[in-house]
Amino acid sequence: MDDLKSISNEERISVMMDGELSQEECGRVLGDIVADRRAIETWHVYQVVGDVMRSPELAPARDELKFLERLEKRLAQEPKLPQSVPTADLNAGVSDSAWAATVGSAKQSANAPVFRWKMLVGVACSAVVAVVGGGLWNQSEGARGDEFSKTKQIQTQAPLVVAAETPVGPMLRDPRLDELMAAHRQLGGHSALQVPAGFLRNATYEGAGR
Amino acid sequence: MRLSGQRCLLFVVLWLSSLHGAVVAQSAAVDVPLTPWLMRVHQASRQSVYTGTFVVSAGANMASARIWHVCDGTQQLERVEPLSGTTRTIFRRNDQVITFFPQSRVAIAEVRESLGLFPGLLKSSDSAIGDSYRLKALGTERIVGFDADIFQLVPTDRMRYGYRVWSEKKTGLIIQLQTLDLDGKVLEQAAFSELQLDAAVNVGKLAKTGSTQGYRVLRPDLQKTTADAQGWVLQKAVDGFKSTACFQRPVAPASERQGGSGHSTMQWVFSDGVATVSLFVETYDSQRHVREGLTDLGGATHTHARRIQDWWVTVVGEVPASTLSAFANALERKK
Repeated sequence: MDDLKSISNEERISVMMDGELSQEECGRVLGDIVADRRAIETWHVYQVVGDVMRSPELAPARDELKFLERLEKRLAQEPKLPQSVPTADLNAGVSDSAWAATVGSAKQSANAPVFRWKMLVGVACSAVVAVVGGGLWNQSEGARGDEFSKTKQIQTQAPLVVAAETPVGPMLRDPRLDELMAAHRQLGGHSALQVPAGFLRNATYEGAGR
Repeated sequence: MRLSGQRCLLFVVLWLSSLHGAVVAQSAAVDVPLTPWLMRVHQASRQSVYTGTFVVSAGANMASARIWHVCDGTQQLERVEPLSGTTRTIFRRNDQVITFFPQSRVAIAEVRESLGLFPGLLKSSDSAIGDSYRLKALGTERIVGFDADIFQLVPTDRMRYGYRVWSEKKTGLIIQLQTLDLDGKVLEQAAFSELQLDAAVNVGKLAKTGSTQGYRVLRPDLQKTTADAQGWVLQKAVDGFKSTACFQRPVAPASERQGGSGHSTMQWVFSDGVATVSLFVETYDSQRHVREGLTDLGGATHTHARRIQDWWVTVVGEVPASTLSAFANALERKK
């Protein structure tokens, strides 16, 4: 990386954690940061942030959704940035400082402390929720016992999945709710129509989307 | 849910038949005594031998199953082989139900007392179905190759749904059942798409399919209890609904509980004789219990969730959302 010397230790750590440095450059950066107490703290904080983001227990999807909601509100309040640098401006000559700012922003690492990076995290988290939700929605094969163990693992990541909005309320998928529904079908047959038709209905129909 | 071409066609046929039913419903409506009719449809299921394909459509979802049903007047044997969802087979001998999961070789055996309640309950003075529903005869229609009488269970208030029932003319067997919302629109439909009455079914062979040999048999860890004993009370009764049962069950299978510290869930069941409502009460968990209020599960089924102090209440039932809310709001912790 050409401009490694021109950036702070924090940014160099960030670039290194992104895997953008060669082995030689990594060695150089590590050599520098061991002598910088603040850089060591930054290294630790980045590692913890990474661990938290990768851990379903420490960063449940529900919180990320809340984060995404807050992020969307903040984004709405942010001033609009120019979409691209107009060619005419480049030809006309841009001041050195303005050009440096443009180039710098283009080369910022993915985990640099800029707001757009956070937005990307939010979008990535929502994508994870969507994938987990999709898995819940589609799981229909395998024995019930196997399903219970699978859904138990998933519960901590995405306890609720909104399948559709309806006039009565949101249509949800929730593994625990599926269990309650099954219990209702098993014991809730106190109906005069249970023997003639209700039992067949409950035996045939597992519930929405299963 | 993916629908194959055949399923789509079947869905359209069922939808059209439901529309047709609505047309028939408007043509004539004669009041009919409810209890004798319920006795007859019960008798039909206890005396008829049949095989067929049963289809349930609820909202945008549909499921079907192959059915074998035999009886000798006292005993009923039934085998249900669902063609949709988890691979499983349900075997019923009177009120004993075994669900086989062939892939994991697990069988869940349970006794469903509710299956033995009727028609005995209909004869007793405890039956209050007549207070909540009136029965109307709507005429006749030919359906899946049989002449059927059409009846409608009309609710007397807006606390419950209505039902339209097609029962086979000679035997009284129910061959189609629709759940109708408060405006009379079809919410759910369960019907035979193909039926063979008096089919030749080998009873011995059918009984053998209920054998659990080669399966690990699990029995639900259910304990009878009362809401009172669990510290709960319904501060205001919901019109037409009576408490019918209350159970305690572990929150998760024993193998998944950590150090035996799993909290149990209470299931309090209410019925108006046709519709049933389950009130589930479990310990509040901030990780899982994040959304209070109503949810639509498609078809006639709704749920209403509510936090009460350290507990989470989930009310489930095939009733209007307002009825679930009435239950959820009436439940109170005893002081």
